[in-house]
Amino acid sequence: MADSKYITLISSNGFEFVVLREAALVSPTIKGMLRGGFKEAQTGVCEFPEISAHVLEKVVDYFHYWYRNRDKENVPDMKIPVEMCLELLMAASYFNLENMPVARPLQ
Amino acid sequence: MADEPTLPLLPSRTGVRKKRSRRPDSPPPPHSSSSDPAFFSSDDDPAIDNYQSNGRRKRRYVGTWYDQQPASSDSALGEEMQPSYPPPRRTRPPKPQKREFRRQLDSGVWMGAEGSVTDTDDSFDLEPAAARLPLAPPPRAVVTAMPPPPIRPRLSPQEQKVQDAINFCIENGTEQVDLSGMDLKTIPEHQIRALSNIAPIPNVTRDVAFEQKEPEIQLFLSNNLLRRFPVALANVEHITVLSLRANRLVTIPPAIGKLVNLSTLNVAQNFLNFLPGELLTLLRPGGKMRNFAYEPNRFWQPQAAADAAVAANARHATQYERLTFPSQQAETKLESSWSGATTKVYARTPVQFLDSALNTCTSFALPPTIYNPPRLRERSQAQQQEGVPVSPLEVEPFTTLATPTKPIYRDMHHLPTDSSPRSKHPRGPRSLFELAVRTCAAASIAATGDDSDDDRTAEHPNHHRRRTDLVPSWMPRHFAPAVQRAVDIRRQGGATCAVCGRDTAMPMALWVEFRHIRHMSIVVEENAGRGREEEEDGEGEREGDWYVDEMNTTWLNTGNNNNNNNSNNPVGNGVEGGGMMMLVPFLRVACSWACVPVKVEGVEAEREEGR
Repeated sequence: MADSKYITLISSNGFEFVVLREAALVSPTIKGMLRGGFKEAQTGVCEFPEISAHVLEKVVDYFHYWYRNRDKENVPDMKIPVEMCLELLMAASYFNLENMPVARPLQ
Repeated sequence: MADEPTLPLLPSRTGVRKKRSRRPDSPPPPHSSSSDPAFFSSDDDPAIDNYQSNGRRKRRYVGTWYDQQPASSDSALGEEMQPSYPPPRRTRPPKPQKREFRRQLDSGVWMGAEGSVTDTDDSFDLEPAAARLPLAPPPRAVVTAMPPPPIRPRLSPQEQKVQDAINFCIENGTEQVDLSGMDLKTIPEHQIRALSNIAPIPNVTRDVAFEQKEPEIQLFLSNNLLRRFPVALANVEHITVLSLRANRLVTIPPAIGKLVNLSTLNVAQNFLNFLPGELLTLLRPGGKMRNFAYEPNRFWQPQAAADAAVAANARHATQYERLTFPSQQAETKLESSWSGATTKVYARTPVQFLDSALNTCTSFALPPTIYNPPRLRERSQAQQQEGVPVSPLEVEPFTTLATPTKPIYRDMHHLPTDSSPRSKHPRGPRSLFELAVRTCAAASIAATGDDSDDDRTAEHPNHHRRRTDLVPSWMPRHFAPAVQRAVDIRRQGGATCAVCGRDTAMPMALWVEFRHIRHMSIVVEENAGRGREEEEDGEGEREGDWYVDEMNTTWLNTGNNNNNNNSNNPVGNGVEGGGMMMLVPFLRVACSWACVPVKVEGVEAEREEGR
């Protein structure tokens, strides 16, 4: 159960997004939720009571955008609607999507 | 209606009118229904006449107002409108009136035509409103200072002089624009944009093929009081000579890298602390830069003690050059002999790593720039210190990398032991935060006008307050500086990652590299098999140079560096003369913590694998 290929993200207003697990793991926040003995790790369902559906949808878009393009160079930027950019700024901070996760040992 | 014709008869419309029951074809006889005379009190009403005489007749349809013939032919409007519409339902075709060809003085229109009508219609097409951030209203100061373009503020006498000079050049096709010694503090953006209109007047003579020449604008702004580089200049692509000598410039924006046709650049006698790394793209072999004058300035200097150890290894310098981006482009082979100004790296400082909240994560920190703006509480202090020479900067060997001393939580996840999926390329997809910051910056620039108003904001008393109201106050406090920095960087022409070469809105790492600038000639021989490589100044290790192996190069030292510029020579702190050579700092930025100027084995292997 914990290792199913997809996980479910639930927004504040009850919308469910089924996301590829590997794509969602780009967010350290989600990775932290899915690791260890939390309830989310067992059920594969993460609830985000602070995030509304239209923001979460865009975040899920980003997960897949990142997953699709993670091995490519010169990727075209994902379009972000102007009216959502502040909410997405908040969401990016929440999901810890601030630095690019690249293979680079920094210790 | 069986008797309705399939096609209506054009002159008479009886078929249509039949439908109207209230309109008899012939007038009804008087007193049609009653023979009794009327004896009501309304008899005296004069309106009753309408009901009595000869029945009621509907008013004839006379057509639209614009089909009417003008009462007198001198009406400008009537003649203008007359041919525009063949009226679809005209009861009486208008008599063709002879049109005269004469000028209508009052309207300014020569001939009445449809074109004049449609022109006015076009003017009503409003431009689509620019996308605006739904946050704070644009700062009021900027709005009042920036009236819509048609209503230009009155030009000051200086601006008028500038305008006259530019207009003169545009009209006469003169390519030398001399704006020197005018005590200019700023140049309005629209005047700079007008420079793009300068085009040489081609010489047309017999037996000479007509040739459209690219303009070669020479702009002299020396001996002025400019504090900021006019960023709009970067869009005037045909500038070949630019003199900014003896101004008060503190920085040169990265946008100068767009002036690819520049052959002479003079930034001497300013207050510059560093040059932008983007300038290096103009200073590579094969570039067009011939003369580059840069001293005296208040350049940062490296610590003298570290020099000997750092600069000794030219091999590492080469490796460094290969890692940083413009030199990768420079590896393209030169087709023919070339001479011009170029640079050679000497040392670099440690890398200053920033996190997304613009906190410095390393022990080393550069003096504040637009990439690492000072904190609010430090800002006044930083302004006071502006112009005060900073102490010499620390220098790090090319092969080592001082990594962040405080690993922040979010980066702990990218340690090599971590098994999470990672992008193999530093140039992969951008982070969501950066994408959002970019969008915010673009939107706020669109809201406040694309004008690079750094002159105004710098002198504006509420400048600091402005920085915070881009982002609403309920949001985390570190967003506002990040967005403001993105706005600043965008206004300055964007930052280019030194390692991966793409533009970035959030530089995450900064460092300064010290370079020698010199004039150099490369002679390529035609039969250059595996020829000799020689340098006149006998630089220690030939291996250390980043030129193509198959090329015979001859290094000439001309210009201002004609003394020994031996790399092994310890260089003093900006001491001029005495054989010491000026080291010029170039500020480099990187788009992520992975883009660092040090070759890390694991990363390189993975990069190769990914290709």
